[in-house]
Amino acid sequence: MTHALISAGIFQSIGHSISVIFHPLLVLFATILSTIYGVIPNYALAISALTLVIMAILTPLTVKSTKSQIAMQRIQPEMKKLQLKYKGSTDKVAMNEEMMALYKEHGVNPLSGCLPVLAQAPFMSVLYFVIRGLTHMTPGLNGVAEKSSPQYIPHSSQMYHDLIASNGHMVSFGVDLANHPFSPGLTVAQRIPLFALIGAAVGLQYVLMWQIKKNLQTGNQGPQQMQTIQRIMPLLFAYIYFIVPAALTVYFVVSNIVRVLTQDLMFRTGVVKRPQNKAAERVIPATAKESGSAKNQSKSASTENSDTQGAAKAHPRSKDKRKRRDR
Amino acid sequence: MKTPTFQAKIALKAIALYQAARSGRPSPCRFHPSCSVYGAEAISVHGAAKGTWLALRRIVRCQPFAAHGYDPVPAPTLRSSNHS
Repeated sequence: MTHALISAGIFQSIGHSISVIFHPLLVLFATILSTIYGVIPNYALAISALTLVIMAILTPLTVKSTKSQIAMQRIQPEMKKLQLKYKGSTDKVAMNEEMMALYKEHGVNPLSGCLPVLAQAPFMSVLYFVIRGLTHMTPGLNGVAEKSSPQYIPHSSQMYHDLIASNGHMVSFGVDLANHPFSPGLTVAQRIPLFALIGAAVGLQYVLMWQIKKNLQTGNQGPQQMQTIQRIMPLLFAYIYFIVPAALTVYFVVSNIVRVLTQDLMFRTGVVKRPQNKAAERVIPATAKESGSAKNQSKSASTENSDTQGAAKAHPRSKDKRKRRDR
Repeated sequence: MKTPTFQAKIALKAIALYQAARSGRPSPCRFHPSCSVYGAEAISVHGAAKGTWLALRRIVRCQPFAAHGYDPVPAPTLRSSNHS
Protein backbone atom coordinates (compact mmCIF):
# COMPACT_ATOMS: atom_id res chain seq x y z
CA MET A 1 0.00 0.00 0.00
CA THR A 2 2.80 2.40 0.76
CA HIS A 3 4.85 1.43 -2.26
CA ALA A 4 3.40 4.23 -4.35
CA LEU A 5 4.53 6.68 -1.71
CA ILE A 6 7.94 5.15 -1.45
CA SER A 7 8.37 5.53 -5.19
CA ALA A 8 7.76 9.21 -4.72
CA GLY A 9 10.85 9.59 -2.60
CA ILE A 10 10.48 13.30 -2.17
CA PHE A 11 7.06 12.92 -0.61
CA GLN A 12 8.57 10.35 1.67
CA SER A 13 11.32 12.61 2.97
CA ILE A 14 9.05 15.64 3.32
CA GLY A 15 6.55 13.37 5.04
CA HIS A 16 9.19 12.09 7.38
CA SER A 17 10.27 15.51 8.56
CA ILE A 18 6.66 16.60 9.01
CA SER A 19 5.83 13.52 11.05
CA VAL A 20 8.84 14.20 13.29
CA ILE A 21 7.89 17.84 13.88
CA PHE A 22 4.24 17.07 14.46
CA HIS A 23 4.80 13.90 16.46
CA PRO A 24 3.06 15.09 19.65
CA LEU A 25 0.10 16.28 17.60
CA LEU A 26 -0.02 12.98 15.72
CA VAL A 27 -0.06 11.06 18.98
CA LEU A 28 -2.81 13.32 20.30
CA PHE A 29 -5.06 12.79 17.28
CA ALA A 30 -4.26 9.10 17.11
CA THR A 31 -5.25 8.77 20.76
CA ILE A 32 -8.52 10.59 20.10
CA LEU A 33 -9.13 8.31 17.12
CA SER A 34 -8.44 5.13 19.05
CA THR A 35 -10.64 6.33 21.91
CA ILE A 36 -13.49 6.95 19.46
CA TYR A 37 -12.84 3.52 17.98
CA GLY A 38 -13.15 2.07 21.48
CA VAL A 39 -16.71 3.40 21.56
CA ILE A 40 -17.62 2.82 17.89
CA PRO A 41 -15.54 -0.14 16.71
CA ASN A 42 -15.90 0.68 13.03
CA TYR A 43 -13.03 2.28 11.09
CA ALA A 44 -15.15 4.38 8.72
CA LEU A 45 -17.40 5.70 11.48
CA ALA A 46 -14.51 6.38 13.86
CA ILE A 47 -12.63 8.33 11.19
CA SER A 48 -15.79 10.25 10.30
CA ALA A 49 -16.27 11.13 13.97
CA LEU A 50 -12.68 12.35 14.27
CA THR A 51 -13.17 14.41 11.10
CA LEU A 52 -16.23 16.02 12.67
CA VAL A 53 -14.17 16.87 15.76
CA ILE A 54 -11.51 18.53 13.58
CA MET A 55 -14.09 20.37 11.51
CA ALA A 56 -15.82 21.60 14.66
CA ILE A 57 -12.54 23.28 15.61
CA LEU A 58 -11.82 24.68 12.14
CA THR A 59 -15.28 25.81 11.04
CA PRO A 60 -15.62 28.87 13.32
CA LEU A 61 -12.28 30.10 11.96
CA THR A 62 -13.43 29.55 8.40
CA VAL A 63 -16.70 31.38 8.95
CA LYS A 64 -14.93 34.32 10.55
CA SER A 65 -12.33 34.65 7.85
CA THR A 66 -14.89 34.26 5.06
CA LYS A 67 -16.90 37.05 6.60
CA SER A 68 -14.03 39.49 6.71
CA GLN A 69 -12.77 38.44 3.28
CA ILE A 70 -16.11 39.31 1.78
CA ALA A 71 -16.34 42.59 3.66
CA MET A 72 -12.91 43.42 2.31
CA GLN A 73 -13.99 42.53 -1.16
CA ARG A 74 -16.87 44.94 -0.92
CA ILE A 75 -14.54 47.89 -0.44
CA GLN A 76 -12.14 46.66 -3.11
CA PRO A 77 -13.14 49.28 -5.74
CA GLU A 78 -12.41 52.10 -3.34
CA MET A 79 -9.21 50.43 -2.29
CA LYS A 80 -8.11 50.34 -5.92
CA LYS A 81 -8.80 54.04 -6.24
CA LEU A 82 -6.67 54.65 -3.19
CA GLN A 83 -3.83 52.62 -4.62
CA LEU A 84 -4.02 54.54 -7.87
CA LYS A 85 -3.93 57.77 -5.96
CA TYR A 86 -0.75 56.76 -4.15
CA LYS A 87 0.84 55.09 -7.12
CA GLY A 88 4.39 56.29 -7.29
CA SER A 89 4.12 58.04 -3.99
CA THR A 90 6.46 57.31 -1.12
CA ASP A 91 4.04 58.40 1.55
CA LYS A 92 3.27 55.06 3.09
CA VAL A 93 1.90 56.51 6.31
CA ALA A 94 -0.64 58.70 4.54
CA MET A 95 -1.85 55.78 2.43
CA ASN A 96 -2.21 53.61 5.50
CA GLU A 97 -4.18 56.28 7.26
CA GLU A 98 -6.57 56.63 4.35
CA MET A 99 -6.98 52.87 4.22
CA MET A 100 -7.72 52.82 7.91
CA ALA A 101 -10.36 55.49 7.41
CA LEU A 102 -11.87 53.41 4.64
CA TYR A 103 -12.00 50.34 6.88
CA LYS A 104 -13.59 52.35 9.62
CA GLU A 105 -16.16 53.90 7.37
CA HIS A 106 -17.32 50.50 6.16
CA GLY A 107 -16.96 48.73 9.47
CA VAL A 108 -14.35 46.35 8.14
CA ASN A 109 -11.75 44.96 10.46
CA PRO A 110 -8.36 44.22 9.02
CA LEU A 111 -8.34 40.61 7.96
CA SER A 112 -6.92 37.88 10.09
CA GLY A 113 -4.36 37.41 7.34
CA CYS A 114 -2.69 34.76 5.26
CA LEU A 115 -0.90 33.00 8.08
CA PRO A 116 -4.02 31.70 9.85
CA VAL A 117 -5.37 30.49 6.51
CA LEU A 118 -2.14 28.74 5.60
CA ALA A 119 -1.76 27.38 9.13
CA GLN A 120 -4.82 25.22 8.55
CA ALA A 121 -2.95 23.18 5.97
CA PRO A 122 -0.57 21.39 8.39
CA PHE A 123 -3.51 20.85 10.69
CA MET A 124 -5.26 19.02 7.89
CA SER A 125 -2.23 16.95 7.03
CA VAL A 126 -1.97 15.68 10.60
CA LEU A 127 -4.85 13.32 9.94
CA TYR A 128 -3.13 12.06 6.83
CA PHE A 129 -0.14 10.99 8.90
CA VAL A 130 -2.32 9.51 11.63
CA ILE A 131 -4.15 7.32 9.11
CA ARG A 132 -0.99 6.41 7.28
CA GLY A 133 0.37 5.44 10.69
CA LEU A 134 -2.54 3.04 11.22
CA THR A 135 -1.76 1.19 8.03
CA HIS A 136 1.96 1.11 8.73
CA MET A 137 3.57 -2.24 7.98
CA THR A 138 6.91 -3.61 9.07
CA PRO A 139 8.44 -4.84 5.83
CA GLY A 140 8.95 -8.58 5.55
CA LEU A 141 12.50 -9.92 5.30
CA ASN A 142 13.75 -13.14 3.72
CA GLY A 143 10.41 -14.77 3.20
CA VAL A 144 8.91 -13.51 6.42
CA ALA A 145 5.61 -11.83 5.61
CA GLU A 146 5.22 -8.14 6.36
CA LYS A 147 3.49 -7.40 9.61
CA SER A 148 1.13 -4.69 10.73
CA SER A 149 2.71 -2.27 13.19
CA PRO A 150 0.34 0.64 13.72
CA GLN A 151 2.01 3.89 14.71
CA TYR A 152 0.98 6.66 17.08
CA ILE A 153 -2.03 4.90 18.64
CA PRO A 154 -1.65 3.56 22.20
CA HIS A 155 -0.63 -0.10 22.21
CA SER A 156 -3.21 -0.84 24.85
CA SER A 157 -6.10 0.37 22.69
CA GLN A 158 -8.65 -1.89 21.10
CA MET A 159 -7.85 -0.34 17.74
CA TYR A 160 -4.23 -1.45 18.02
CA HIS A 161 -5.22 -4.99 18.89
CA ASP A 162 -7.76 -5.14 16.07
CA LEU A 163 -5.22 -3.87 13.54
CA ILE A 164 -2.64 -6.41 14.69
CA ALA A 165 -5.25 -9.17 14.59
CA SER A 166 -6.32 -8.28 11.05
CA ASN A 167 -2.71 -7.61 10.01
CA GLY A 168 -3.37 -4.02 8.99
CA HIS A 169 -6.65 -4.59 7.17
CA MET A 170 -9.25 -2.01 8.09
CA VAL A 171 -12.45 -3.67 6.96
CA SER A 172 -15.46 -1.47 7.47
CA PHE A 173 -18.84 -2.04 5.79
CA GLY A 174 -17.17 -4.75 3.74
CA VAL A 175 -14.50 -2.40 2.35
CA ASP A 176 -10.85 -2.63 3.36
CA LEU A 177 -9.97 1.01 4.00
CA ALA A 178 -6.26 0.22 4.14
CA ASN A 179 -6.33 -0.25 0.36
CA HIS A 180 -6.17 2.23 -2.44
CA PRO A 181 -7.95 1.54 -5.75
CA PHE A 182 -4.83 0.14 -7.39
CA SER A 183 -3.76 -2.08 -4.51
CA PRO A 184 -2.66 -5.40 -5.99
CA GLY A 185 -4.74 -8.53 -5.60
CA LEU A 186 -8.19 -6.98 -5.32
CA THR A 187 -11.24 -8.14 -7.22
CA VAL A 188 -13.21 -5.70 -9.34
CA ALA A 189 -16.02 -5.77 -6.78
CA GLN A 190 -13.53 -4.76 -4.08
CA ARG A 191 -12.21 -1.88 -6.17
CA ILE A 192 -15.58 -0.36 -7.04
CA PRO A 193 -16.30 1.12 -3.57
CA LEU A 194 -12.77 2.56 -3.47
CA PHE A 195 -13.30 4.31 -6.81
CA ALA A 196 -16.74 5.47 -5.66
CA LEU A 197 -15.19 7.10 -2.57
CA ILE A 198 -12.71 8.99 -4.75
CA GLY A 199 -15.51 10.00 -7.09
CA ALA A 200 -17.43 11.40 -4.13
CA ALA A 201 -14.39 13.32 -2.85
CA VAL A 202 -13.67 14.89 -6.26
CA GLY A 203 -17.36 15.60 -6.88
CA LEU A 204 -17.66 17.38 -3.54
CA GLN A 205 -14.71 19.58 -4.40
CA TYR A 206 -16.50 20.66 -7.55
CA VAL A 207 -19.63 21.35 -5.50
CA LEU A 208 -17.55 23.60 -3.23
CA MET A 209 -16.15 25.47 -6.21
CA TRP A 210 -19.56 25.83 -7.75
CA GLN A 211 -20.97 27.21 -4.50
CA ILE A 212 -18.26 29.86 -4.33
CA LYS A 213 -18.69 30.79 -7.95
CA LYS A 214 -22.45 31.05 -7.68
CA ASN A 215 -22.48 33.15 -4.53
CA LEU A 216 -19.45 35.34 -4.87
CA GLN A 217 -19.74 37.22 -8.09
CA THR A 218 -16.29 38.65 -7.79
CA GLY A 219 -16.37 39.91 -11.34
CA ASN A 220 -12.73 39.03 -11.35
CA GLN A 221 -12.26 35.42 -12.20
CA GLY A 222 -8.75 36.00 -13.40
CA PRO A 223 -7.40 35.16 -16.83
CA GLN A 224 -8.80 32.24 -18.78
CA GLN A 225 -5.77 30.11 -18.01
CA MET A 226 -6.23 30.53 -14.27
CA GLN A 227 -9.82 29.45 -14.55
CA THR A 228 -8.70 26.35 -16.38
CA ILE A 229 -6.18 25.50 -13.67
CA GLN A 230 -8.83 26.07 -11.05
CA ARG A 231 -11.17 23.73 -12.87
CA ILE A 232 -8.66 20.91 -13.11
CA MET A 233 -7.34 21.37 -9.56
CA PRO A 234 -9.68 18.79 -8.01
CA LEU A 235 -8.48 16.29 -10.61
CA LEU A 236 -4.89 16.93 -9.57
CA PHE A 237 -5.94 16.23 -6.01
CA ALA A 238 -7.54 13.01 -7.21
CA TYR A 239 -4.02 11.79 -7.88
CA ILE A 240 -3.39 11.93 -4.14
CA TYR A 241 -6.54 9.95 -3.43
CA PHE A 242 -5.36 7.20 -5.74
CA ILE A 243 -2.15 6.61 -3.80
CA VAL A 244 -3.36 6.94 -0.21
CA PRO A 245 -5.38 4.47 1.88
CA ALA A 246 -9.13 4.78 1.37
CA ALA A 247 -9.45 5.59 5.08
CA LEU A 248 -8.01 8.99 4.25
CA THR A 249 -10.47 9.47 1.41
CA VAL A 250 -13.20 8.91 4.00
CA TYR A 251 -11.76 11.90 5.83
CA PHE A 252 -11.76 14.01 2.65
CA VAL A 253 -15.34 13.05 1.83
CA VAL A 254 -16.66 13.79 5.32
CA SER A 255 -14.73 17.06 5.70
CA ASN A 256 -15.92 18.23 2.28
CA ILE A 257 -19.51 17.42 3.20
CA VAL A 258 -19.09 19.58 6.31
CA ARG A 259 -17.58 22.36 4.19
CA VAL A 260 -20.39 22.22 1.65
CA LEU A 261 -22.98 22.39 4.41
CA THR A 262 -21.17 25.24 6.20
CA GLN A 263 -20.88 27.26 3.01
CA ASP A 264 -24.48 26.60 2.12
CA LEU A 265 -25.59 27.73 5.55
CA MET A 266 -23.38 30.82 5.38
CA PHE A 267 -24.70 31.91 2.02
CA ARG A 268 -28.27 30.97 2.83
CA THR A 269 -28.45 32.81 6.14
CA GLY A 270 -26.60 35.78 4.70
CA VAL A 271 -23.96 35.60 7.42
CA VAL A 272 -21.43 36.63 4.85
CA LYS A 273 -23.44 39.58 3.58
CA ARG A 274 -23.55 41.82 6.57
CA PRO A 275 -25.28 45.19 6.18
CA GLN A 276 -22.76 47.93 5.63
CA ASN A 277 -21.64 50.52 8.17
CA LYS A 278 -22.76 48.33 10.99
CA ALA A 279 -19.72 48.66 13.14
CA ALA A 280 -18.52 52.04 12.00
CA GLU A 281 -17.94 53.20 15.52
CA ARG A 282 -15.46 50.45 16.17
CA VAL A 283 -11.99 51.85 16.69
CA ILE A 284 -9.32 50.30 14.59
CA PRO A 285 -5.84 50.81 15.98
CA ALA A 286 -3.42 52.12 13.43
CA THR A 287 -0.40 49.91 13.33
CA ALA A 288 1.29 51.47 10.41
CA LYS A 289 4.83 51.22 11.66
CA GLU A 290 6.08 47.93 10.40
CA SER A 291 8.35 46.08 8.04
CA GLY A 292 11.61 47.63 9.12
CA SER A 293 13.51 47.61 5.88
CA ALA A 294 10.60 48.32 3.61
CA LYS A 295 11.47 51.36 1.60
CA ASN A 296 8.64 52.58 -0.45
CA GLN A 297 9.07 52.41 -4.08
CA SER A 298 6.89 53.02 -6.98
CA LYS A 299 7.23 49.88 -8.99
CA SER A 300 5.34 47.63 -6.62
CA ALA A 301 2.29 49.82 -6.87
CA SER A 302 1.72 48.58 -10.35
CA THR A 303 1.40 44.93 -9.32
CA GLU A 304 -0.98 45.15 -6.47
CA ASN A 305 -4.21 44.61 -8.25
CA SER A 306 -6.01 41.57 -7.08
CA ASP A 307 -4.50 38.56 -5.47
CA THR A 308 -4.90 36.60 -8.60
CA GLN A 309 -3.85 38.65 -11.50
CA GLY A 310 -0.38 40.03 -11.27
CA ALA A 311 1.73 36.93 -11.35
CA ALA A 312 -0.36 35.12 -13.88
CA LYS A 313 0.35 37.73 -16.43
CA ALA A 314 3.99 37.67 -15.59
CA HIS A 315 4.17 33.88 -15.97
CA PRO A 316 1.85 32.93 -18.76
CA ARG A 317 3.07 29.36 -19.07
CA SER A 318 2.37 28.18 -15.56
CA LYS A 319 0.80 24.83 -16.33
CA ASP A 320 3.00 23.26 -13.74
CA LYS A 321 1.62 20.47 -11.63
CA ARG A 322 3.75 21.36 -8.67
CA LYS A 323 1.80 22.00 -5.55
CA ARG A 324 2.69 24.81 -3.29
CA ARG A 325 3.94 23.42 -0.02
CA ASP A 326 1.30 25.18 1.96
CA ARG A 327 -1.75 24.17 0.03
CA MET B 1 14.65 43.00 -12.43
CA LYS B 2 16.94 40.12 -13.35
CA THR B 3 16.43 37.05 -15.46
CA PRO B 4 14.94 34.46 -13.13
CA THR B 5 17.11 31.51 -12.24
CA PHE B 6 15.79 27.95 -12.37
CA GLN B 7 14.91 28.03 -8.67
CA ALA B 8 13.21 31.39 -9.05
CA LYS B 9 11.15 30.06 -11.96
CA ILE B 10 10.00 27.09 -9.90
CA ALA B 11 9.04 29.34 -6.99
CA LEU B 12 7.22 31.75 -9.28
CA LYS B 13 5.29 28.91 -10.91
CA ALA B 14 4.37 27.52 -7.50
CA ILE B 15 2.99 30.92 -6.53
CA ALA B 16 1.11 31.22 -9.83
CA LEU B 17 -0.40 27.79 -9.23
CA TYR B 18 -1.44 28.77 -5.73
CA GLN B 19 -3.05 31.92 -7.11
CA ALA B 20 -4.83 29.96 -9.81
CA ALA B 21 -6.17 27.51 -7.25
CA ARG B 22 -7.51 30.38 -5.19
CA SER B 23 -8.75 32.54 -8.03
CA GLY B 24 -12.33 33.68 -7.76
CA ARG B 25 -12.19 33.67 -3.98
CA PRO B 26 -11.52 36.82 -2.00
CA SER B 27 -8.02 37.26 -0.64
CA PRO B 28 -7.48 36.75 3.09
CA CYS B 29 -4.48 39.08 3.07
CA ARG B 30 -4.05 42.04 5.41
CA PHE B 31 -1.55 43.76 3.17
CA HIS B 32 -1.24 45.47 -0.17
CA PRO B 33 0.08 43.95 -2.29
CA SER B 34 -1.20 40.60 -1.09
CA CYS B 35 1.27 37.99 0.13
CA SER B 36 1.35 35.99 -3.09
CA VAL B 37 1.80 39.07 -5.29
CA TYR B 38 4.46 40.30 -2.86
CA GLY B 39 6.17 36.90 -2.96
CA ALA B 40 6.21 36.79 -6.75
CA GLU B 41 7.59 40.30 -6.94
CA ALA B 42 10.16 39.71 -4.21
CA ILE B 43 11.44 36.64 -6.04
CA SER B 44 11.66 38.38 -9.39
CA VAL B 45 13.35 41.42 -7.87
CA HIS B 46 15.63 39.80 -5.29
CA GLY B 47 16.11 36.30 -6.70
CA ALA B 48 14.97 32.94 -5.35
CA ALA B 49 16.80 32.84 -2.01
CA LYS B 50 16.26 36.35 -0.71
CA GLY B 51 12.87 36.63 -2.37
CA THR B 52 11.62 33.48 -0.67
CA TRP B 53 12.99 34.73 2.63
CA LEU B 54 11.16 38.04 2.19
CA ALA B 55 7.96 36.21 1.23
CA LEU B 56 8.17 33.95 4.28
CA ARG B 57 8.74 36.95 6.54
CA ARG B 58 5.73 38.62 4.98
CA ILE B 59 3.51 35.56 5.53
CA VAL B 60 4.61 35.39 9.15
CA ARG B 61 3.66 39.05 9.54
CA CYS B 62 0.28 38.46 7.92
CA GLN B 63 -1.64 37.60 11.09
CA PRO B 64 -3.89 39.43 13.54
CA PHE B 65 -1.11 40.51 15.91
CA ALA B 66 0.96 42.35 13.34
CA ALA B 67 0.51 45.36 11.12
CA HIS B 68 -1.54 45.66 7.98
CA GLY B 69 -1.83 48.03 5.09
CA TYR B 70 0.53 49.09 2.36
CA ASP B 71 3.73 47.05 2.45
CA PRO B 72 5.70 46.97 -0.79
CA VAL B 73 8.70 44.80 -1.59
CA PRO B 74 11.86 46.59 -0.44
CA ALA B 75 14.05 47.98 -3.20
CA PRO B 76 17.11 45.88 -3.97
CA THR B 77 20.20 47.20 -2.20
CA LEU B 78 23.58 47.25 -3.90
CA ARG B 79 24.59 44.09 -2.15
CA SER B 80 21.54 42.09 -3.11
CA SER B 81 21.65 43.19 -6.72
CA ASN B 82 25.24 42.02 -7.06
CA HIS B 83 24.22 38.70 -5.64
CA SER B 84 23.10 36.50 -8.52
